[in-house]
Amino acid sequence: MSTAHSDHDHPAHLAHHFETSAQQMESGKLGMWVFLATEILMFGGLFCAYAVYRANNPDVFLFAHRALDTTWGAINTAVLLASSFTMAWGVRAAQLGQKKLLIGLLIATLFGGAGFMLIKTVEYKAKWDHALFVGPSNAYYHDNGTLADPGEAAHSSEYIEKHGDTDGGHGGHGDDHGAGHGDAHAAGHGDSHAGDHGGDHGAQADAPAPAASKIAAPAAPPTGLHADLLTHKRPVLGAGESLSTGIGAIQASHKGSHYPAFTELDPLNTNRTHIFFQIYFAMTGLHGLHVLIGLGLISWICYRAGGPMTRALLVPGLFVSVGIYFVFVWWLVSANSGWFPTTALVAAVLCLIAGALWGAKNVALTKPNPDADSEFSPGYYTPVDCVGLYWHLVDLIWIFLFPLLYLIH
Amino acid sequence: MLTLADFFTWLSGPWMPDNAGGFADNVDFLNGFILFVSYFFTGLIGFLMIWFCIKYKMTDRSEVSHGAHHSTAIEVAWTLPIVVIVTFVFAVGFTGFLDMSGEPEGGKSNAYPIRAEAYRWGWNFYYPNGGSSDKLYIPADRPVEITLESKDVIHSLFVPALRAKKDVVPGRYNRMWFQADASLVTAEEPEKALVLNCTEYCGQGHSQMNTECVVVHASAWDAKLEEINKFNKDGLTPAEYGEQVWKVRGGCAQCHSNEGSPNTGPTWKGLYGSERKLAVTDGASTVIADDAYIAESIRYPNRKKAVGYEAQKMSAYGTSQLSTGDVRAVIEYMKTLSGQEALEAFPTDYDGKTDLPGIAAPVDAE
Amino acid sequence: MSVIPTNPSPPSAPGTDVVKAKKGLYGDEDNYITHGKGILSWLLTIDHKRIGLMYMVCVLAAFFIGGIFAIALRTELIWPGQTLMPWAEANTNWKLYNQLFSVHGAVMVFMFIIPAIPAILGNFALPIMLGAKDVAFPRLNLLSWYCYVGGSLFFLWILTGGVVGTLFGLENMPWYFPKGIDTGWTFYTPYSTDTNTGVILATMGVFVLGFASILTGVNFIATIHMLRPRNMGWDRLPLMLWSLYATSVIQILATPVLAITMLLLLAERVLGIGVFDPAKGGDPVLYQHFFWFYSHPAVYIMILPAMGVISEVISVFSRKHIFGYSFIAASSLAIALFGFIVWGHHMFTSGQSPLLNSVFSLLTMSVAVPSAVKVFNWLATMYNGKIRLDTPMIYALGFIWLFTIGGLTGLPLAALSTDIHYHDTYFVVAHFHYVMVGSTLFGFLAGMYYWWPKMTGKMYNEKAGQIWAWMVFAGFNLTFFIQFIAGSLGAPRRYADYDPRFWKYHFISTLGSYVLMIGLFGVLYNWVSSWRSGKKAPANPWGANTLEWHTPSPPPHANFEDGHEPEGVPPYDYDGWDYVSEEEGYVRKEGYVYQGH
Repeated sequence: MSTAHSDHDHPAHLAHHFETSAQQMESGKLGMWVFLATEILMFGGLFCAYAVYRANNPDVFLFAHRALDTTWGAINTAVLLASSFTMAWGVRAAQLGQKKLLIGLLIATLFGGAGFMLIKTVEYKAKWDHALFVGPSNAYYHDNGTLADPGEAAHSSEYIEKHGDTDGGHGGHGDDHGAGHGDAHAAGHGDSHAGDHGGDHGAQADAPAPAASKIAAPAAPPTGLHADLLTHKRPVLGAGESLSTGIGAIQASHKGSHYPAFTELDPLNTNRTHIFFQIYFAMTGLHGLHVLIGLGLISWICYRAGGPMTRALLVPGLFVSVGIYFVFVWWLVSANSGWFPTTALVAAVLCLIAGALWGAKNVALTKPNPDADSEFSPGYYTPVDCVGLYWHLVDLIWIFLFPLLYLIH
Repeated sequence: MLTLADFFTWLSGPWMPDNAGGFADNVDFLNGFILFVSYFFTGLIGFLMIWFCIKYKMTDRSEVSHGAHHSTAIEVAWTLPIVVIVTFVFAVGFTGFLDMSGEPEGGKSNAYPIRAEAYRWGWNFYYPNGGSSDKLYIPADRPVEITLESKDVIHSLFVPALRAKKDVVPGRYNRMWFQADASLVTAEEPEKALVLNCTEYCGQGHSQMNTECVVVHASAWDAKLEEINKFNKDGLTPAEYGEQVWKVRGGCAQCHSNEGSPNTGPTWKGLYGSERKLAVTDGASTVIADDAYIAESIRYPNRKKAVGYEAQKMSAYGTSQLSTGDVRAVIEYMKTLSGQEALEAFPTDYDGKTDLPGIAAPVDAE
Repeated sequence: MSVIPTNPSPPSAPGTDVVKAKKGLYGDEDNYITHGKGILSWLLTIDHKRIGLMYMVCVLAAFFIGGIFAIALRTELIWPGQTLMPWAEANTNWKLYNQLFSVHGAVMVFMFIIPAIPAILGNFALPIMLGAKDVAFPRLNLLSWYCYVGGSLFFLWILTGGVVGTLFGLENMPWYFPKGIDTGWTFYTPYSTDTNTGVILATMGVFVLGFASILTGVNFIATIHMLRPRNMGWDRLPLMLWSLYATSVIQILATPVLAITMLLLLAERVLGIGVFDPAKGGDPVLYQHFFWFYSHPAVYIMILPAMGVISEVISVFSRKHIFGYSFIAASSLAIALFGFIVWGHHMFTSGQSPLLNSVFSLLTMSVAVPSAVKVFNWLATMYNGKIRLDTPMIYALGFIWLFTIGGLTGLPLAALSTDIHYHDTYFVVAHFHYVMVGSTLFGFLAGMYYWWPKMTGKMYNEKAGQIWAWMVFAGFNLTFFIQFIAGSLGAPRRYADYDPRFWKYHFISTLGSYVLMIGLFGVLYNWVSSWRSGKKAPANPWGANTLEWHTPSPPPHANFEDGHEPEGVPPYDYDGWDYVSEEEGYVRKEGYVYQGH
């Protein structure tokens, strides 16, 4: 573009409007930090929504969070932290000009991110199996006071109960739930309940509020006024329950810090369980999207950092990974196949094979030349640094998500 | 001080709606004070701008002016009065607001409780004696406390002459109170109507969501309540009354047409007595749309949805929205839309609370 | 001392007129406009000046669209009953009106006012004012423009579908033919989750437009921090840059909250996630908190750059150093800061707790202080100056007048009890038009006229510019002042049809809007004719001393001529320039040494 400055003695990476490499690097990092501030604020909004949601529906959060798998969550935290470590080390390697180490660490980071997404898939799949997915795919989904399929909701409640009993990590429940710590069983859990959608659970759930309006408010007497309606409180939503059945009432009855087990809750409260999963999927979904973007960015950095061999293998490698991922998903869901079409499986396998062949061809045709063109040097590694910062942010957000969604009880 | 207060109130006089009591005293006084400040500063700034432009007009383009261009003393000097003024404005506004958001005058027990229900696009007001009306009737000698409830989206209740406003938010029970000026009405002229608007945008008919807030003299209040509470006070036939419910009171017309055109819900034309295919079943896959089915579908709309309307969500109508008599009348109206014979008249002294004698009561689980 | 910039004259003196006629508007001159030919040299450019011009074309197009909608909705209100579609049923008219004001609001806010000054004038002037060759991230800058265009296309799509559908009464159209947007620009839930209009597309559009805004903000902050030249400390930063800096801070801190709000709204409609839906355990008032946490600071995104422009123009056209430089700069930052803690004053009637209302009311009052400080400092700058009443100055004075009225009418809206009465009436409409349109539009026009010679290298017709300026001023006041009165009397806003007792107010307001429209078309004509056949502009027609006036008009591709290494100067020291009447502009004094050098 800039012909006016061809006479200057600029290094190749230095853009025309900067005086020095240091200035360029500082600008890049400042820009990245500012951008990260926007990311934090965006997630901040989501955390805010979580707080309000939780404050409005504490009992639901208490009950439903047991469906989450603390073990997988903890493993995922470790995986992501490890990948953050390799990323940080990679930045160090770039700073010191250790090109091979840099590539190795970036690939390790890629594996960490991909591992995180794989585990997330396993977790999501367990939710799907038990009709605890987002929106209308959730057994409890309703917006006018009645459940579409009460039997299914009851079935899901049963799953959450059982899961809450067996899942490890609930130190607060102490002695009653001691057995089965660390039982990572999410994937295989579905089969035992399959086809058991029961009519006998229907009765408890099909009790629409008398006079529920669209917002399913508690009924006001015909004369118009309830003293307790004037207290400015949002009514707790749900069929037929009064304001006094929330967690406050339960806590009061227990007179202490011990939170009740879900069985102590009014069974009708479970009707609102979808509330928890809405925010769970909104938060982890947006975070997962950021992980995917991060994986793309790290691949890009890896491509720029690599010699000819890395470059020859990287894009085919992505194809192979995508193929493997979808074959894995197929393997996960094969138990209740139907929604994963065979054509998609064929496409995934083809993708895998094509990537492998392409990679082999590239390897065969590329002359190894170990010290050829890595774009980065101790004098210029801004992109590595910036992507590193981004990756740490993604990690950091998960560090907040994990306790908020999985651990607090 | 009194004269100054009068002066400010006088100043805001021409720009404000008539003062019918409510919170007008505080609002008008504060508004007048702000107007005074505004007139002063706009005048001052406008005058200075014009004066400077004339006095310091440039004559020679090369001239540069070398005045002082920094003075912390001056900056502080013109900031301080601003701070004082806005603090005063806040304080007066705050006291007025405390009044609005606090207990009604004379305590809760002194206030007459009314429940306001806003829907697209109209209002229903419910009174402790069981009556309901689409105009807001308030006694002149007592404060009223209104609980606001929305059936759908956000609305807002605004009575300009009382300077009273509150949003009607679904999922919340907002509350407002006010007391009209008792001298608005006399025993000879016992009613005075004030404008009542919806001031939160709520869609197509937002601009039509107006009604009246009628201040009623104490001597006429009991009679008024009786009149409001009387079932079918206009002496309509059941079908005519049902049509009113369809159009206004129940708001059914939003989703159900009466001439066969498709809408959110099934049309009522030809519905009564027809065979309905059910989407959500409780055993049988079809049902005849008889009295019982229709009544159940009003009270529990999502139990037996018809095929084609699985995805639609109708609000459930309990007895506080539609009384038994209202439901009965709707069914009679639907009969006429299907060419069937409807009841010619409500039996004498039918109060609409219990069902008609001699007719099979529609299913009502309450 | 550096080289005195003069306008480079075409190399071959004889026969230049012939060459000019053949070679378009700039002859053989090499400047950023002629540097690189063909449409791709524009669409792929990373030159901030060209991106500024491309923004100008698009933003003015958005202003045109928003303006057409404004005129249409004012016409609907010219008298009670139905006006625009007398042949159709009343509720069709109401539907049309609701779409008109929604599209007008959304287009004007997201596509015109927010990007107007930062993206056009900021993009063009900011790097040159810093003596830099470009913004810190030129490619992000181009991406920002594409985000803007992409987001705008969503709105074009929606409004085309909506207007066509409503006018011709088409129902049951396929999904790719959206039914317009009728939620107002605020997208309040639960109405926006309920309506069958194009909310999904609109929120996606807003989301993408938000990215344009964020990218501009990131760029400006990094540029101002990193690319200042030698001798330009923060105390020599022109006030325009101080306010753009404050604006950028708001843009990057507030816009992401809008992004997540729009995502959650999208999720609510598409996935059934109900954070804002009471039926699903959410709270509509939470939406209002989210929305106004962005949208109130956004008001300052709109007004702060205009204040920056005014600070430059008032000082330059008073031929006097700006009064209270540090107070004006600090007040910009103060406004940016206060902007974040006052959002709750939009919700005094929503039923949030009285305590929250009181706190927000008190905090809102604090905004009055930096606003008043600015106005008084501008007046003090004019005092004892040498006031040159050219078009930019007329707009600047108009700005002060309108901002004073807009600011003072903010008082009863910030005070609790009066706001209860005024909330959602025409008083609010008038107030925010005085602040957002009156002030921002006038600041924008002042800036456009001020930098027009620099951007295009052409002078505009001064007489005509002044006449149109007065017309715009008169039209604006006629349109909106009367709405204060209507609002005080209790006329609710967003009413498609109204009580006949408000007829005369609406009638006058509508007439005023026609005057305003004619005035604005006059301004457009003034610009177009200037670009086509205006006189060549001198490097410094105003005698200003910020760095963009140290380079020829229009600037060369690299912003400054080869060999000219710009360095910071006191931006409001006008002594270094002499008026040269043959140039019709100012020329640097040989050997003039600035204080502090």
